Amino acid sequence: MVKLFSSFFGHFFSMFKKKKKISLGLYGPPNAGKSTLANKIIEDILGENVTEKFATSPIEHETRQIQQVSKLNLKYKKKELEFNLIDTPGIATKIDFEDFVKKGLSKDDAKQRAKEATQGVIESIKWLEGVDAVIVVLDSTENPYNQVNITLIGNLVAKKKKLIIAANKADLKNANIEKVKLVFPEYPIVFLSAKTGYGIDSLYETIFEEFY
Amino acid sequence: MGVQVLSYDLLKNLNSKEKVEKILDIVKKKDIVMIEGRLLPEEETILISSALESISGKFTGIEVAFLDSNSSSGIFEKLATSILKMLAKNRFGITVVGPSKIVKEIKMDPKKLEILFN
Repeated sequence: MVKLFSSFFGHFFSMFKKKKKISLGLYGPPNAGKSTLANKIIEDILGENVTEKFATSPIEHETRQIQQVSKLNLKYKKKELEFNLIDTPGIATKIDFEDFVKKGLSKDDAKQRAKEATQGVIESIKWLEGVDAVIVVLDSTENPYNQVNITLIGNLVAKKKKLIIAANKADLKNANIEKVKLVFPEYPIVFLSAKTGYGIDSLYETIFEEFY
Repeated sequence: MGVQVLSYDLLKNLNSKEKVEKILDIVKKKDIVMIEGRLLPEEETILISSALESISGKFTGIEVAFLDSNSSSGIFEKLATSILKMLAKNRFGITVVGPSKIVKEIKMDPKKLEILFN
C-alpha cells in the first residue's frame, strides 16, 4: 500500500518536473576524444552493455560521418534534459592521405580514408546550423590556441549557439590546464577525462547550468 | 613559392565567396597569403570547406592562422580596443593562409605567429 502510495505521488510530482529537449553536438579537432566522450555519456545514461557505441582509434579521422543517438535523458535536481547526441567528424583544415600511410595504412585505404574524412569535415560544418548547443572537445595536452578551435568557437558565438568547452585528457601529466583557461576565459570549461570518467559529473552539472 | 600581402581595401568590396575564391586561387598556386584584418567567422568556415572541397593530389588543404594585433590587458585598454574594432570592423590583425604541402604548421600565440615549413 505504501509502495503504491509513493508510486502514485512519484508519478504525480514527476508531472511537475521540468523537461527540455535539445540537440547536442560534440565538435572539435580530430583525436580530441569526441567519440570517447560520446561513448561515456551514452554508457552513463543507458548502461554499460549498450550497443550504440561509436568506434575510436588512435589514427586521426576515425569518425568520418555524423553519428547520433536519439532521446537520451539526463536527470539532475528534479530537472530532465532530453537530447539527441551528435558525434561529428573532427574539424581540420588539411587532410593528406600520406599522413595515414605513415600511420600504417595501405595506400588505397589511406586514400579512401582521406576522401571520407574530407567529406566528413564538410558535413560537420554544415551540421553546425542544426544543433542547439555544442560541447567543444579539446585535447588538453595540445596547444588550445589553434585556428580550428578559434574558428569553431567564433562561429558558434556568431550563430548564438550555447557552448561548453570540454578540456579532455585533463588527467594526463602533460595537460596544460592553465593555458586552456588563459585562452578561453569567457567560456565555461570543464576539465575531464572521457576515458577514465574524471570530471564527468562536473560536465553534466555544467550541461544543466548552460543548456537547460 | 611567394608571399602575397592583400590589403583590407582590396578585399572589402568582395562578398564572402569572392573573398575565399581569391585567397584559395593564390594558395593553390603554392603562395602564402597575408591579409590585413580578419575574415568573418562564417568566411573562415567557408574557407575551410572550400579548401577541403578543392583537395586533389597536389593540394591537400591549408594552414590558416590569425594574429590579433590588439590583445590588450587592462579594462580601459580592452574597452578602447573594442570600440576601435567596432569602428574599423575586421581591419585589425593579420590573417595568414598557406598551402599545407608547403606550410607544415602555423604556431599561434596571441602575440606572435610562427610559420613552420615542410
